[in-house]
Formats: sequence, C-alpha cells, structure tokens
Amino acid sequence: MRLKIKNPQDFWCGIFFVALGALALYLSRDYEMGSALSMGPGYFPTWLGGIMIGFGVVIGALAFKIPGDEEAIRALTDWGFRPWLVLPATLVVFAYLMDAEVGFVPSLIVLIIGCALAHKDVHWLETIVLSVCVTAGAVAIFIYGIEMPYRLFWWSP
Amino acid sequence: MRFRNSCCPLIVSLLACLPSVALAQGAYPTRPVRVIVPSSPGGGTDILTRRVIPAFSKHLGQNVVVDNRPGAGSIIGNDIVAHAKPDGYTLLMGISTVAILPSTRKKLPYDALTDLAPITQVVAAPNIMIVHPSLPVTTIRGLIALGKKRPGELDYASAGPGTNPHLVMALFLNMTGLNMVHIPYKGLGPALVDLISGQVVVASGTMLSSLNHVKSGRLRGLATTGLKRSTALPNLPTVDEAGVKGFDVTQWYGLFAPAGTSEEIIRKVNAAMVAALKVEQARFAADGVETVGNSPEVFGNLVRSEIGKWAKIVRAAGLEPR
Amino acid sequence: MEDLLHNLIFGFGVALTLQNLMYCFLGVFLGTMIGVLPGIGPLATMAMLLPLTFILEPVSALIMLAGIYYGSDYGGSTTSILVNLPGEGSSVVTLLDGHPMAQQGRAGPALAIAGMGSFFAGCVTTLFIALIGPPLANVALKFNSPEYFSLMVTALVCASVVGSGSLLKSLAMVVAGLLVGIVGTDVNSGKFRFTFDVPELTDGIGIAVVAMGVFGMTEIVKNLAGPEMTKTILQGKIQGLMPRWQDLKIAFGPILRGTSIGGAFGPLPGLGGTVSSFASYMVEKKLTKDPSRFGKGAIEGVAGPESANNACAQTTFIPMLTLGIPGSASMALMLGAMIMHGITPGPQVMTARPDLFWGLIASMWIGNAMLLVLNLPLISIWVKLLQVPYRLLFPIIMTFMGIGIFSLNTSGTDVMIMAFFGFSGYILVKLGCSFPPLILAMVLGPLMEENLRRSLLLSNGDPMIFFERPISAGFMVATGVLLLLFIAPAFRKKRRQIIVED
Repeated sequence: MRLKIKNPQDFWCGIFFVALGALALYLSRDYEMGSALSMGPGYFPTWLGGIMIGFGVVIGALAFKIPGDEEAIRALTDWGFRPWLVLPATLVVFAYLMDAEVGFVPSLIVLIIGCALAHKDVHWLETIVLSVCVTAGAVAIFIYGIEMPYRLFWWSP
Repeated sequence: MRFRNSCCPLIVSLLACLPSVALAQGAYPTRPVRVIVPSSPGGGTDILTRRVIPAFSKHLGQNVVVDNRPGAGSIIGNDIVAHAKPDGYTLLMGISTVAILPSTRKKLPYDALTDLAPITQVVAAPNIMIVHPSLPVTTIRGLIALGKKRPGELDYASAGPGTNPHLVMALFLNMTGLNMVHIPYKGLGPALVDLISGQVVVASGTMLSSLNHVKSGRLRGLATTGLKRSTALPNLPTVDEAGVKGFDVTQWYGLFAPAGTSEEIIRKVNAAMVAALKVEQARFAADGVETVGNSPEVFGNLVRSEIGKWAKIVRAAGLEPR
Repeated sequence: MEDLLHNLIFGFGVALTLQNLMYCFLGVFLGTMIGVLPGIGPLATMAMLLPLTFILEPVSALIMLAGIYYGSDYGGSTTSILVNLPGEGSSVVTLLDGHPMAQQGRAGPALAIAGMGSFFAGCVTTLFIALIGPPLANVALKFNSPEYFSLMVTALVCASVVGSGSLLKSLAMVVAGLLVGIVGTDVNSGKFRFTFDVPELTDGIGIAVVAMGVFGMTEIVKNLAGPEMTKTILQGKIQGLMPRWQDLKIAFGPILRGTSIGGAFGPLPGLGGTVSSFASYMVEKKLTKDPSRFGKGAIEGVAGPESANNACAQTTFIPMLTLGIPGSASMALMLGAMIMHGITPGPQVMTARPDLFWGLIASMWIGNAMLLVLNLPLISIWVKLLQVPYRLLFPIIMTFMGIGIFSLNTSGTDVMIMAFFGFSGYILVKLGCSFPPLILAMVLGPLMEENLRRSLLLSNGDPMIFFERPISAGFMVATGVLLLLFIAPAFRKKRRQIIVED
C-alpha cells in the first residue's frame, strides 16, 4: 500500500507538534516528577509534552487519510520568506541597539530601514523620509510626551 | 498646576544640559540622575522610592528619575547598576534581597560586595507575625503552644521559596522547633489574600504590605520581628520579647552605586538622601517604616553582616541554592 | 434604597467639583492615549504620576489614577480593530472579529460599538458597585484555590471553542499555550522551568509580548508575503462611521451578557480582563445561531468582550476598596496611593471616608461618559488611518510594537521574544493553526497548575477537595457536561468524514 500525503499542511503540522512535544520532554528531563497528588515541577511539563506528541501524531496520521482543501495545499507553497525572516531580524537588531543604549533615534531609524528591506516594493527615498518623520513623531510622543528615560543618541546623557 | 509638574522635569533637564554644554566638567550632578528600582511599578519598593524622590531630588539639586527594571527577584535591576558606569548618574534602590540572594542563588551575574558601593540605608522595617483571626492565639507563646500541639497541620503562606516572608518564617520555625506546612505563593499579595480568606492561617508579612490589614483587624498581629518595637504598632511585642530570644530580622532598603564611584560623589548623594529622609521621616513612621540615613561605612558593614546572617538562615531553612 | 440614592447624590457632589472634574478628565484622557499605544499599560503611567498625587487631595488623586486605569480599556481596542495589534491581553479577543470588520470597511461601527458597550458596562457596574460592592467582596473571598482550579478547567475546556479551524489543532494549540505558560519559576519549588538560563525569562513570558508577536507580526508578514503587498488594510469601501440600527440590535444582548460576565470575574483577585473577554467571546459564539460568522466580522464578537473588559476593570476596585486586597498590580498601586494619603482601605472606608468612596464611584460614571464623548469623534480619524498605503503603515506599526514592548520592562529581551513569536507564529498560521486558544491557555495554565498543586498541598494530598467544596464541585460538574457536549458531535463528524473517505 502506497502512503500518499493527502494533506501536506496537516502532515507538517503534525511534525511540528511532535517536535514541540519532544522539546518539552527534553527540557523537563531534570525536573522532579513527584506523584499525582504531590506534584513536582516536572509533572505538568512532562505530561503536556507527551500529550503534545500525541496530538502531533494524530494530526499527522490523519494527513494521510483526509485530503486537504485547496487552501491547505497552497499554504505551504506560498511562503513569504523575505518578510518572515527580515521582520523578526529587524526587531532583534532594534532590541540589541536599545539595550546597548545606542540611542532612541538611531535604533528607530535602523528599525524602519529594516522594515523597508522586508519587501521589494518599498522604495528607498520613501523609506528615508518615512524614517525621519516616524522617528520625529516617536520622539515627540515617547520621550517628551510620556517622558521615557531613553537617551536620544549615543552621546546623549 | 499639574502641567507645571509634568513640564518641570523637562525644563529642568533642558536647563541642566546647558551648563554641561558650556563647561566640559561641572560639579556633580550636572545632569539628571537615574535610580534603578529592581521591581515593577506599584510595588512596595517602587512606591517608597517615589515618595522619597522629590525631596531627594531637591537636595541633590538635580532631577531624579525612577527607572523600573523588574525581573528575577531584583537580580536584573541589581546587575544593571553593578555593571553601570561609576559616574554617579546610575544608582540602585536596593532591597534587603541583595543580602539574601548570594545564599539562595548558585550563580549571580554580579557580586554584592565587590560590584556595589553602599551609600546609605534608606529605611528599615520589621516583618509582622500575622495570623488569621480565627486562630485561637493572641501571643507568640500561644502560637508556639498551638504549633506544638498540632505539628504539620498549620499552614503558613509565603511569597515564594527564598523570599523574605518565607525565610523569616523558616527561621521562626527553626528557632522554636515547630513544624508547619509551607504554602508558597507568587508574591506577598496573593499570599495575603489567602491569609485573609482563611485558606492559610499564619504568615510573616512585610510591614509595608501587612500593616494595613493588621490595623483594620482583618488579620491579627502577634509580634514584630525586629529587636525594637515598631512605632506603628507599639502594642505588639517583638518576637524576641515574646519568648524567642535572639530573633531579629528586618527588611531594609538602601541606596547603592556601582563600585568605583568616587568618594566625593558618594558623600554628596549620601548627604542629599539623609536630608530627604529627615523630611519624610514622620510620614514613613506612620507606616511603620523607620528612616535610617546612615553613613556609607555603617551601611556597608550592615550589608556584610546581613549577607552572613541570611546565609545561616537559608542553611537552617534547608533551602538549596538554585 | 433611599440610603443609596442619598450616598450617590453625595458622591456626585464630590465628583462634580471643578477640580475633580479636571483630574477625572486628565486621567481618562491619559488612559485612553496610553491604551492606544500598544505595550505600555496603565500601570507605568499611574506610577509615573504617583508623585503628582502626593500634592493632590486624596479624592482627586484616586479619581485621576482610576481614570487612567479604566480609560486604557477604551483605547486598547483601537489598535486591535485597526491593525490587528492587541495592546494587552484583554484586547486580544477584540481583534478576532474587530479587524475583519475593519478590513470590510466597518471599522467605524466596530470602534463605536466597542465604545458604547464599554460605556454601558461602565454605567451598570458603577451602580453595581454602589449596591452590592461590599457583600460581593466577601463572596469573592470564598473563592480559594480549589474554586479557581475548577473554574479554570471549565474555561480551558471551552478554550477550543475560541479557535477557528480544526478542533484537533485548536486543542493542540491549547497544549502549546500551556507549555508557553510554564516558562518561568515554579511557585512551589522555586525551580526555573524552560528558562534557558536567561534571567529575563524567570518571571515568565508576558502575554502582551506573545499576543503582539503572534497576532500583530504575523498579520504584517502575511500582508507582505507574496509578490504583491497588500495595498491598504481596507479591502473594500468604507461603509459608514456609525453602527447601523441593526448592529445595535444585534449587539444589545452581547453587551448585557458581557457586562455580567466581566462584573462577575472582576472581584476575583488574579483573574483579569483577558479571561473575562475570552469568556464573553466563547459565550457569544455558543449562543449565536450561526457560529461560522465569528472570526469574519461578527459584531457580537466585539460588543460582548469589550463590555466584559470594562465591567471587569471597574469591579476590580471592589476588593481593593472594601477589603484592602488588590487584585492586580495596578490595584496594588492604587492601594499604595491610598495608604500614602493615610487612608486605610477596608470596610470602614465607607463610613470613615464616605466622600472618598462615593466620590470615586460617582467619578467612574462621569469618567465613562467623558470617555464616550472623547472617543466617538476620534473614530473618524482612526478610520482615515486605514486608507494609508500599507507600505508606509507597516513600519509605523512595527515601530509602535518595538517601543511598546521594550518599554514594558525596559528590556530588549522582551522584543526579541516577540520577534520569536512572530517568526513561529507565521509558521503556525501556515500550518493551519489559530492562536486564541494558545493565548487563553497561556493565561490560564500557570494559574491552573498553581492552584491545583496548592489545593492538594492544603488538603494534604486529598483530591476530593475539589468535589467537597460546593462552588468547586459545581464547576467540575459543568466541565463534565461541557466535555460531553463538545466531544460527542466532534466524534460523530470525524467518524462520518473517515467513513466517507473510505
């Protein structure tokens, strides 16, 4: 009998949940279990990890039996790689810059330029103008309006 | 009036920038000072700090800003100051947890003794030994007797393993040889809720959080945990007076700077805070909180001795560092 | 009854002075603005204004602080509806149907109904607090760990209802949410769980962080995915700024029910607007004739939760005022403010400082009225936002997300966690999962585990404690019934599906 994946979306969903459950089990391996009536820190996470794997297996198995609709099949092929990778990366860079106290203004400008990189339809001139305006607005609202104690530039107090 | 208050810091900080632009170095402080509070807004430390900041700011001659950095039971906030530039513009309103953490945590990202420079002890307040009114005890001796009669049956609440309410209670149990069941909560707030509703019956609550309830009668105070009676509850004996000799624990807040901050700056900040505390003394006393305002040396000695004391208490409580 | 009228009139007398009106307005205005900004919550604002309140009279101070608190609920729904960005946990549910409404050009009615529902809830709960506030607080005290646990089990069982799509995946998302909720410090043992040695994770992951990553960021990625970017959020014409008469009729029931739900959950310490709004959403979805409309712009999905939200925010004051027990960090701050003014909250507050108690209650009614007047005209401005080209709008959204979350704890780590949830969120969306069950489980899970273990500790390991106590037993029975109701039809459907395939 040939096993054909009738619903790729559900199949990969199952794999994801199995992996997530396994991760949970792995991370809780050192936590004490205790007993059902006197639970230790590991009781809840271990059971949840197991249940998660269970769900993953069922969902994945059903992917072989029940065909997915068009949307489900298309979902996995239409993947927006560029925004999916660029936007979180931009936020991470922003976070680093703010933590390093490089300054509110430079961090924001980097953030907005990073956003521009998330899609090819974004034009440079527009982005620069936008970043100046938005940064100015943000400074007005957050630094002067709400008086948040962030320094504006790396040379500011 | 309110606009003046919200514009005032802005104007002061703008004005403060001018001299620092004109002169390369002015006398400290030449720009706003940041006090890091290692807990979230609205908590006991936060409110207390915000109360003393206006007077402190005035005496320091500069705008002082409160910066909340909660997390990891004050470790995050402490660490930020421990590694900040020792220029006097980043200070820490440290909690007595500073002295407890070295014994309850295996790894700390900073060293309380070498990375933090003490400036002054701000306030001190004892805990209150509280019970639910339904418990048929009115004195510490009564509690001890009841505890001996019913070992392992009485439940006591704490703010979590390793916190002040837990350790004080653990010390009490250790010194009296009692056996009670520890029910931890996520913070003193929820613990007090359950204590008031009677789900647990005993606790050692911090003065700031519990005084209100003792005064209103929802909870019964048995004794305070310091060596001297509390001014806010003069009718309550100390645990020491009530029969447990040598019992002395207080919760304190203190101002710290990063290690390496110059003597001159420390003395200036000390002077400003001591003056501010004199202004707020009466108001704090009404809340059972004693203002201290001692010298950096005395405070430093206190921190050192507290670290040792809590190490012993943690060991006696059988708590493993994590 | 006469007493009550007398007290209320006295309260209005206090609240209607020029000074108190000014502070009330300032409070609600600030609260709304803060509510609109995602991430930053009323707590930080209240804390910043605390020194100001030292100089004020106690009544004025409390009126202002309270205004900030319940005002932020009005603003919170704005970003949820417009750009799918929940400002805090309680605004999450609003975006489920609010944002689709905005996309269909019905942002105006959505915002208006949210405002009107909140206003109605505010008025009713003000009366409610005046009438049975103190006795209610005492009932709330009867709610201990076993009751909390059983309530949460019931809520969790219903959680899969909130999700769209396959039941199995919704249940799996519930489990995922429970796992995310475990991150942090275990209450009973003090052990760090799932923290990867990162100190910022030892207090758990904030719900705003997850919600903004999972809803806000994923929405942006979705809109940017594909060769052509979405032109604007609007996918049609704007269909009027105000709700139609028909909308009001449909929304009336949910608003009533939402108010009751929020009013019931508010006094219970520890449960917040998030649970109330979710509960309201679940009730409305179950009661409606055509549940498939939910998630696609059903106005009940906005009306009910928003009313529940505001009702909860106001009834949260009850235990704080009458017993001195704060139910949340914001209440703890207000409590601190009261104590600083020398007022001891407790049963005597009503008799010792009636001007404070009744003045505050009256000011809540006034504050709600001010909020309605403030927010309704703003709707036309907000709706214009939807016409901004998306390629300009989404960097602005990202900016607010970044600053908002960073400012919560002044921590870049929080922003990175949000980025992580945005990244994983997109994967989950592509895999056909929906997020509301995850968010709800994230909130309920830790509370559930904590209360379960505590109940067993208190009962010395006896599981019967959940059935011996009447309120708890009631919830357990309800859970059993609900489980049967849910699983039975799902079983039959799956069987039929499998049979058809074979």
